[in-house]
Amino acid sequence: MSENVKAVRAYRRNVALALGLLLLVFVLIPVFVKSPYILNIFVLVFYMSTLSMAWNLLGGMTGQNSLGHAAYMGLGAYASCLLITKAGANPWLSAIFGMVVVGLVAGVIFYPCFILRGPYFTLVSIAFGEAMRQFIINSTFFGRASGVGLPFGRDSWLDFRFGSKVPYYYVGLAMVLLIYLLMKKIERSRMGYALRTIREDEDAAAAIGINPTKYKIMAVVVSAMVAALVGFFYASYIRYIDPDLMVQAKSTESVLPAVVGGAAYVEGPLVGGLIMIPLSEFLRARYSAMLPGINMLLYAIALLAVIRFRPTGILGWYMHSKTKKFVDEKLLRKPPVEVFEAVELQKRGGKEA
Amino acid sequence: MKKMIALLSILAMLLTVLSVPAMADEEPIRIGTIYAMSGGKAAIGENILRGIDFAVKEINEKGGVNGRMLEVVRGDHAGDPAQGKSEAERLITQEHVDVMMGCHMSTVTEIVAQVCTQYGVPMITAISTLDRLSDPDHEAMDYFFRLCPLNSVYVKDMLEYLKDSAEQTGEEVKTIAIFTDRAAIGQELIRCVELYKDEYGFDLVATVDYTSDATDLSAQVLALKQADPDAILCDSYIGDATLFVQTLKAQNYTPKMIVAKANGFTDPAFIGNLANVANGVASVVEFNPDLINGQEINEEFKAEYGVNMNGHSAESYTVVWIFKTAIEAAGTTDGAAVRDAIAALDIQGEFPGGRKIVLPYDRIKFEDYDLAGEPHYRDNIYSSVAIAQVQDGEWKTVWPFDFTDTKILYPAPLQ
Repeated sequence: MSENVKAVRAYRRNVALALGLLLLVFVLIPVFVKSPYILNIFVLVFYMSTLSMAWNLLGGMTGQNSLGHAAYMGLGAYASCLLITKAGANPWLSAIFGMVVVGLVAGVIFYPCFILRGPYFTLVSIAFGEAMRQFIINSTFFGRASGVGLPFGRDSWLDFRFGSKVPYYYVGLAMVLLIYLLMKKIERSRMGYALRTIREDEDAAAAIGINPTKYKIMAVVVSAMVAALVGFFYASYIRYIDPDLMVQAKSTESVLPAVVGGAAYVEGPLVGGLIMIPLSEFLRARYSAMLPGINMLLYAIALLAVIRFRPTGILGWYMHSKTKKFVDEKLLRKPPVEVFEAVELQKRGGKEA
Repeated sequence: MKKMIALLSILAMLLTVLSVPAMADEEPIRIGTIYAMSGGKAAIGENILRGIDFAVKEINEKGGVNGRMLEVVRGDHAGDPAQGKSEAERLITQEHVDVMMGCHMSTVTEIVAQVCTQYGVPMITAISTLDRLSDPDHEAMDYFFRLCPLNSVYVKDMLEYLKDSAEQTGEEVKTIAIFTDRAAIGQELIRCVELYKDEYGFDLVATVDYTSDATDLSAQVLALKQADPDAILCDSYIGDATLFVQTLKAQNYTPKMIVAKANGFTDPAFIGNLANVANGVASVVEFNPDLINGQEINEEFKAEYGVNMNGHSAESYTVVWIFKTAIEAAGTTDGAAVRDAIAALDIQGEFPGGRKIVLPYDRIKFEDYDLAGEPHYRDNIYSSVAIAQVQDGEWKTVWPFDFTDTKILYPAPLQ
């Protein structure tokens, strides 16, 4: 076996080891961190990052800036909650029901809208969110403005209901991981290539045989379904939902982690969420009692600073930074590009050189 | 030398450890508060916090509670239930508050109360009026108490006022009409009037509604004019409330009594918009500066903050005194003991070592009871509202009769 193959294998092993260690840290956090408040922040990070990944499939990968993700999330929460409270259904089945309903609604509503491009799509998504909210406020079946509460009671996995944060922590972590793997899979699939081509140039994509409408609908539906899953998780965790869940500001909140982390990368929302949500919580806990609203001001300044100085997000900066070079070469022992090429050539050649 | 330093530092550490229990008695009692301090609802939060700060200052100046000072730890829910939950957990587990107050949106209160119950921290809401917070679905929320009247008690008191008014006006109210918004506030008014009208023997002759931010209400006013009730009950936001009274004037229709369920009608802009035309309009208030028990505190409050005390500040002020009294009775800040002390509390007339109750009722006791056929839990069963009427461009309390010297202006002049 050549030196090259060994080097590549060693590198891959190091990467797997690093990721495994990272995962282990997250798995072990509840063992060492007992404060429910800190665990609560992690749960927030998990579900907001997942929501942001859903947005990123549409906004980052396909280039369709949606500002209606809070509505998908809210609708998913409502669909599953109402099935639980009115029909007494099992929450886990209701989650699937919520995802299907929201996927259908998003598909049916946005199918005719994809004649629209650029900012017009964004405007429709805003209108969609507000229309859904108004619909619920005015519908007795949906509980009008006073919202829907899920029953409290004894801890139960069947009912996805716990007094402790720990089960929510692990379910949230599993949700982030699953959705991340799904997004990674989509990115590397035929669909991912099609979406990125559409993002760069829709006409060119159509010219080489990609059906833009079909792929955009697929992206909207998958994105909306993931948002609906987050809605279910949110409702089970907070145990109360109201139409304010769908306000415009919430949709913007789902965009921020992706933009700050780097919308061009599947990992962007994860990095952004891990930074922005604890930051926002910290600022509120530390400053809001001294001067109300100052926390939001500081948060806005932090956000502006990222957008001004690192417009491609934190990952966009990292990918071209010396830090990455150091991490790759010294810590992970990544071999030079030529080595990878040599190994690849060798594989295709079918035999050792 | 090194040994000396080591010895000294060990000594210092020992002293710190030993002095902790001694200092614990001196540690302040921490009251957690969760209100919106940022976002669209921040102005309401400010009034509430003023009431709390005022009470804390008063109590601390008199030597605190069991020799310990009171300290307020503020949380901000910004109108969001998820943020409310997160703040409740922070205040309880990080800031170790002993008791909790909040919130000003009933839906957020519900979540925070669940968290308090889970951790065994007693909580009293000063201003959350949604009926369901104390209904059988929330029976198990046994660390949560409510001082203020329920929504349906607001409406019941409006009807009670109509009945009592005959004593001064000499004319009995027989027919009533509702004029209100199609939004949640209006639906709530309609629901509650339906619930109680038979008990008071009123005949509901018309229910007229409109969509918020109306540009024209003449059709609605015409419908009321045709029904010609003895009294109109209404609930609107400020823009619609102003337009309503203007339209009454324009159509030359002067109903004898108009009683509002606060909201737009008690907005400071209401009298400003209408000047004399508002004279005679009555509304529910939780507190009014001219209440017999409220005049003195209002003067002091105004000297401190430059504004009149309002319902929210007065109710929040009262809750701090309830906590003080309960903690003194319990002799400890242990959650379960304080909870039991609150449940056993019976304040009649005035707080021990404090003022008379500054609200329009003279007794505070949290009990389980029946309201319109449904059991409710841990509400202050003596709470009620007052009715104030615009007279000479100012809100004057006219009911309950025991709490005021002002007489009802009848029929409403609207000029």
